[in-house]
Amino acid sequence: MRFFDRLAGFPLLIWVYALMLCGLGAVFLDSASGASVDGDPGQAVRQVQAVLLSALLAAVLAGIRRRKLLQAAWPLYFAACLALASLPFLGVTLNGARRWFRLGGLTLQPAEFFKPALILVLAHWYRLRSEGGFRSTVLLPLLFTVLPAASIARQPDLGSALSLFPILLVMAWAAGARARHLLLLLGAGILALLAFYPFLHSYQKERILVWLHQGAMTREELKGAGYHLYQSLIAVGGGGWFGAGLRQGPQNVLDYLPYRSTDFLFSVVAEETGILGASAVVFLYLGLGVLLCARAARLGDRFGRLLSAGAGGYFLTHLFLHAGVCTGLLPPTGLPLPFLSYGRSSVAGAWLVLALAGHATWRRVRTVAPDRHL
Amino acid sequence: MSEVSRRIRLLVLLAFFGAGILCFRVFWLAAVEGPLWRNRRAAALYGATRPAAARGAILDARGRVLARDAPSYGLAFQFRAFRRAHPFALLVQCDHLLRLLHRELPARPESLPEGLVEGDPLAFTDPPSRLRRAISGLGALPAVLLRRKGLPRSLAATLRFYLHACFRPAAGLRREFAGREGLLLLRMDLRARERPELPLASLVAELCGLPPTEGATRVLERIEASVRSSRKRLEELAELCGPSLPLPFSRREEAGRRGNLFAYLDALDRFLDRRARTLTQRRIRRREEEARLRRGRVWWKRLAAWLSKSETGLRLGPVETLVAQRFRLDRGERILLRDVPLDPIVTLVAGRKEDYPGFRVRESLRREYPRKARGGYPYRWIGLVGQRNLQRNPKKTGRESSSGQGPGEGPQGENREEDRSGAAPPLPGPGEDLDVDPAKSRLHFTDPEWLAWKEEARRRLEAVRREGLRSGLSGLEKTCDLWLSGLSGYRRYLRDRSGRVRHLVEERQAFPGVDVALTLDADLQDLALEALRGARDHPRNGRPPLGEDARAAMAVLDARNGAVLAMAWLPERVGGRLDRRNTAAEIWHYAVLGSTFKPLVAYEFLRRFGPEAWNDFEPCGGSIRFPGESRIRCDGVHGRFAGREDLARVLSKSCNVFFAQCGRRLGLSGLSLAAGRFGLWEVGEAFLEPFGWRRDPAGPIPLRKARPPHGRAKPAGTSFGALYDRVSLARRGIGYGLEASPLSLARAYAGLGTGGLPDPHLLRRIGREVLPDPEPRDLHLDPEVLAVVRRGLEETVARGGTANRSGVGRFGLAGKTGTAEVSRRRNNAWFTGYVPAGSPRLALSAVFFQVPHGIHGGDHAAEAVARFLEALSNPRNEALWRRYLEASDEEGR
Repeated sequence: MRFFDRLAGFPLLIWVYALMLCGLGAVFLDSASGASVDGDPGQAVRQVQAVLLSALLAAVLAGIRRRKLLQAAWPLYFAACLALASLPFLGVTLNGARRWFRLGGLTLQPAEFFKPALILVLAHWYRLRSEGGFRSTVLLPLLFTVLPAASIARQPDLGSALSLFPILLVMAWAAGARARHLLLLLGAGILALLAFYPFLHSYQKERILVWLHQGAMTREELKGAGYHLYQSLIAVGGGGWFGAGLRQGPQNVLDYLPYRSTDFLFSVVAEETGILGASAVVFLYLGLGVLLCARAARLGDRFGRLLSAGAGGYFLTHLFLHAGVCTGLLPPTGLPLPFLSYGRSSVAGAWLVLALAGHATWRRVRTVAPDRHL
Repeated sequence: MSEVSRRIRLLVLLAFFGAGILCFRVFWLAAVEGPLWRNRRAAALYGATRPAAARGAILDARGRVLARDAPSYGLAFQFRAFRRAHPFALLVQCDHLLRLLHRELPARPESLPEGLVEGDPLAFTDPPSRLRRAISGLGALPAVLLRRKGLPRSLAATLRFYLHACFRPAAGLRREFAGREGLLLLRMDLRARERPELPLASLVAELCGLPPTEGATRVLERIEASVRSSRKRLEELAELCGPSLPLPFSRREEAGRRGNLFAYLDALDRFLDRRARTLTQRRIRRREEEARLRRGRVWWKRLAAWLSKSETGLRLGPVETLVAQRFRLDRGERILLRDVPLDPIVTLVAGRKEDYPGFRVRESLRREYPRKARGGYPYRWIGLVGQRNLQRNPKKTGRESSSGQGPGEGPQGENREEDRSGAAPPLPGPGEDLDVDPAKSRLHFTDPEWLAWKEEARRRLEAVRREGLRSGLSGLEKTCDLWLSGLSGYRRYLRDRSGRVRHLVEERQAFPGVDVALTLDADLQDLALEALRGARDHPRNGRPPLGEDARAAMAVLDARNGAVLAMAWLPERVGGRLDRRNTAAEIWHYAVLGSTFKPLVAYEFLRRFGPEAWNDFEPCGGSIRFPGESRIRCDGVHGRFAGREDLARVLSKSCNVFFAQCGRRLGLSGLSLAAGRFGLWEVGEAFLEPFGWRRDPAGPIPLRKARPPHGRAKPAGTSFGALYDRVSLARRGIGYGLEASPLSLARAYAGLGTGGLPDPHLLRRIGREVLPDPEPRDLHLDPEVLAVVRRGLEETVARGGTANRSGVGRFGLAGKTGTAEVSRRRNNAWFTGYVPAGSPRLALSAVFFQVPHGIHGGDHAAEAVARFLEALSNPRNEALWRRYLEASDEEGR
C-alpha cells in the first residue's frame, strides 16, 4: 500500500505533459531534419530514443530519498563545475566551439547537465535562508552561478551561460529574496553585460550589432553575421496565419534556415504552422512552466517548492530565450528548446530537471512544520 | 494567500506576459509584416532563366541567307576555381600570399618567410627551374605556419588552405591517405602542434611513414610532378588559344595588349591584386562612414559603436579584407575566347575537366552574316540588350522605343531627332497653298495593320529589353525583332541554399523566330557596292581617287512597286573595323539636293504657268545677278528661253539661270508643292523611321536657312516668310538649301518615270506570309508636261547633256545630275534616274557626299550608276538583267 501511496504522489500530469511536448517536438524535428535533402532524417528517431531513456532514468531518480539528494547536491554541483572546467582540456571542438565531451560515439554537453545541478544546489542553499540578507540570498548564489557561467561563456556558449541567471532570479524570488535586491541584481547584470561586451568574440559582437539594426541590414551582413537572424525572420514572417504545412516550409525544406533542428526550431514551427501553431506551442510550453510553478505554490516543504520553481524557471527561461532569438527579440545565440529541439544532452538535462521537480512532489515531506526546521 | 503563493503567482503572471509578447511578435512578423517577409523569401528562393529562342534568318529576295543564328562555343574562365584547384596555380598563389602577408602585416610572426622563392614573385610564365626552387621553398616552410600563432584568424585560415592544398598530391605516398586527402591534412595539423619547427616536407614525409630526409625529397618530387604535369596541360591549352588573348588590365595605358594564356594568367593576377587593393580601400572608407552614421542616431547604438571600437577584430581589418578580396573572393567568370572551334579546344576542356579547373565551355547562339565581308547591309547589328545597357542610359532606351532609333547611335543623333520632331510640314495637295496645321504636322502611314504592328513591335521590344534577351540593336535586326526573335522560353524554379534547382515551378519552351525575306537582292546589292567602290577608286578628270574615307550611297528601287532592291553605302568600315553604329542612318540621312531637284521644279512650273511664262525670263549669260551683290552662276551660256520644248534643253544643260527664275516665280508654296507632289519628305515617316533611320528634313524650305539678304540683321517686325527674298527662292529653285535622302529621290524619279508614286518597302515575306506590294499612288500628272520633263532627262545622259561624260546614256537611261555646294570647298555629287527610259523598271539614285570642289554629279555619281548598269548588262548577270529589266510585272516579283 505504501508503494501505491507513493505512486499516487507521482506528478503524472506533468510527465505526461512533458512526454506530449516531446512527441510534438519529434514531429517538428522530423520536419526540420528530414524534409531537406541535406538534413539528417535519423535525428527524430535518436531524439525519441533519448527521450524514452532519459524519462526512464528521470523516473528512477525522482524516487531517490530526500536525504541522499540533499547530501549529493554539492558534490553534484562541484562535479558539474569540474566537468565544465575540464572542457578546454578534454573537450572536442565542433563548429569552432569546445562544448562537448566525446564518449565513444556519444557527445555530451556538460553545460546542459550543469543546469539541473545548479537548480539542486540553489534549492539546497535557499531551503534554510528564507529571510537572509543581500549576501546570503543574492550575492553568494550569484557567485555559484557566475563562475560556471563564465566558464560556459568561454566555450563559447553565451546562450547557455545567460540562461543560468533567470533561473537564479526565479529561485531567489521563490525563496523570498527582497524585490529591491533582485532589481539591484538585475541592474547589475545589465551593466555587467555591457561591461562584458568588449570581451565578446568578434562574431558575437557582430551579431549583436546586426540585431540592433535588423531592419536595415547591409547585403554583406545578410550573408554574414545577420544570416541566421534574417533567415529566421523570413521563416517566421513567411508563415502567415496557418503556416505552410509540416515538411512544407520553404526556408526549412530548401535548407536556408541554419541549425533549424536545434537553435532555430521555433522558426520551423512558426513557418510550418503559422501564427496559430506557434502561439499554441508557446502556450503549451508555457503550460509546463506554469504547471511546475503551480505545483511549487501548493507544496508544503520549502526544498521541494524551490526545486519545482527552479524547474519552472528553467523551462520558461529556455522558452523565452529560444523563441526570442528566433523572432528577433533577442540577439542570436544558440540555445535549444528542451523537449522540442534536437540534442540528447539537452533532453537528458531537461528530464533531470523534471526528475528534480518530480522528486519534490513524490518524495515530499508531509509536515507542516516551518521551512526553516526542515 | 501565503507570501510564497503570491510570489509564484507574480512569476506566472510575468510568464504569461512574456508569452503574450512572443505571440504578438510572431503575429507582427507573420501578419503585419508578412507580405514583406514573403517577398524577401520569394526573392531569395525563386530563380528564373529565359532560354533564348533561335533567331530567325534574314533572307534576300531570292532566298539567300543574309543573317542567321549558328551555335557558338566560348571558353569561359573563373580564376577563383582555377587557383584553388590547379597545382601550378596553387604554388603561385601560395607564394603571392606569403609575400602579401610579409609585406602588409604590421606585426608578422618571425616564422613567416618572404616568399617561396627569392627575387620577383612567382609567375605563371616562370621557367621550370624557378618552379623547382619554389617547391623546395615550400617544403622548407616551418610547420608552425599551419597553426594560428601570430596571425589573425582569417589570414591563418587562408594560409593553411593554400599550404594544405599544395601538399595534397603527397597523399598518394601512403595507402592510408589514398583518396582520403582530408585525413592527411588533419594529421598535418595535429603533428604541426607537436613539432612546429619541423619543415613541412619532413612533416608530411613522417606522416607518410618515410624516412625524414629521403622522404622529404620524395614528397617534393611528388609535388613537382603534379605541378609539372598540370603546367603541361596548360601549355596544351595555351597553344590552342594562341598568342592573342586580350590581357586584362586596369590601367588605360596598358589596355589593348595581347598575349598567350600564361601571360593572361599573370596579367589577371596583377589586375586582381590591384582591384583588391582598390576595393579594400573603398570598403574601409565605407565602413568608417557607416560607423559614423550609426553613431549619430540613437544613444544605445552610439554606445554599442563606442564599445565596438575597443575590438579591432570586430570586422575584418585592412590586411584581412585585402587577403579576402584577393585570395578568397572574385567569383566572376571571364570569357577568354569566343567562337572557339568544337575540336580541339572544346573537346580538350570539356573532356578533361579535372585537368582544367576553372575553365568552362559555354554554348550559345551567334549571329552569323555570311555576306558581311562583301559590304554593308541594312540588317545589322544584333546584340544583347541587358540590364547594363538600360542602367547606363535609361532615358535613352526609353526614347529608343518611342522613336525607333538604334541604341548604337550617339546622343548627337538623338538630339537631331528631337530638334526636328514635330516640325514636319503638311503635305499640300495640288493647287493648295501651305498652311501650317499642327494636327497634320506629321505624316502618318495610315494602314491600321501597320500601325498595330508598330505598336506591338514597340511593346515587345521593350519587354524583351527589360528581360535582357538577344535583341536587335539597329537596322532590320531591330525593326523585325518582333518576328525574328521568336518567343524566349521561361523556367522558374525553386533553388536551395546552395543554388541547386530543387523544384521546377513553371516551364515554357522557347519558340524559334521566323525567317524574314527582304526585297533586297544580294547580287544587286553586291553590284551596287562594287559600282560605288569602282567609281570611288577610279581617278577622273585628272584628279586622284576619292579615297577610303569617301562617303557615298546608292539606292535601287523597283520603279513599279517600290521594292528596294539594293541599298549600298560607303565606307562600310569606319576606323578599321565594321562600324557598330548604324551606318545606314548616317548615309541615308538627307543631303542637299542640288540640280536633281530641277526636274520637279520644271514640272511644277510648266504645269502651273505654261511655256509662255519664261518668255520674259532674263536670258542666260553665264550668271544672273540680283539686287545687291548676290549672283548665281551657271556652268554655261544658254541664251534665251523660248517655247515648251526649250525646257528639255535647259534641263539637260541644267541651266541655273533658268531655274533660279523659276524658283522666284513659283514662290515658297510652289517649291513646296514641287517637292511634296513627288513625296520627297514622305519616305522618312513611312519607311526610314521604322527601320531606325532618321527621316527626311523637317520641311521643304528649312526655316533655319532663312536669313536676311546681304547678311544684315532681320528688320524688326518682319516675319520669316517675308525674308524669303528673291535670292533665297532662286537658290531653292536650283535645289540649294533643299535636302532629301537618296531613297526618296529615287522614289521621286520613279514617280516621274511611271506617273505613279511607289511606296518603298523592304519586307517581302514574314515566315510563310508573302506581303503584298503596296499600290503606287497615282499622281495624276499632266502627260504633256511630263513628256517634256522626261525628254529633258533623256537628253541629260545623251550627247551634250551634263551626264554625257560618264557614258551612262548607253544603257537607255533617263536621269539628272546634281552638284550641290555644301561648303566653300565641298560638294554633294548626285545622279538620279530611271531605266529603261521608255518603260522604267528600276529607279536609281547615287550620291557622293562632301566631295572636293570641281567634282560634279556627272563624274563619280553618274559613273557609279554606269558601272552598276554595265555590270548588270554583263552576260554573267543575264539572269539579273532579265529579272529586273526585261521581266513582266508578275515575273518581276
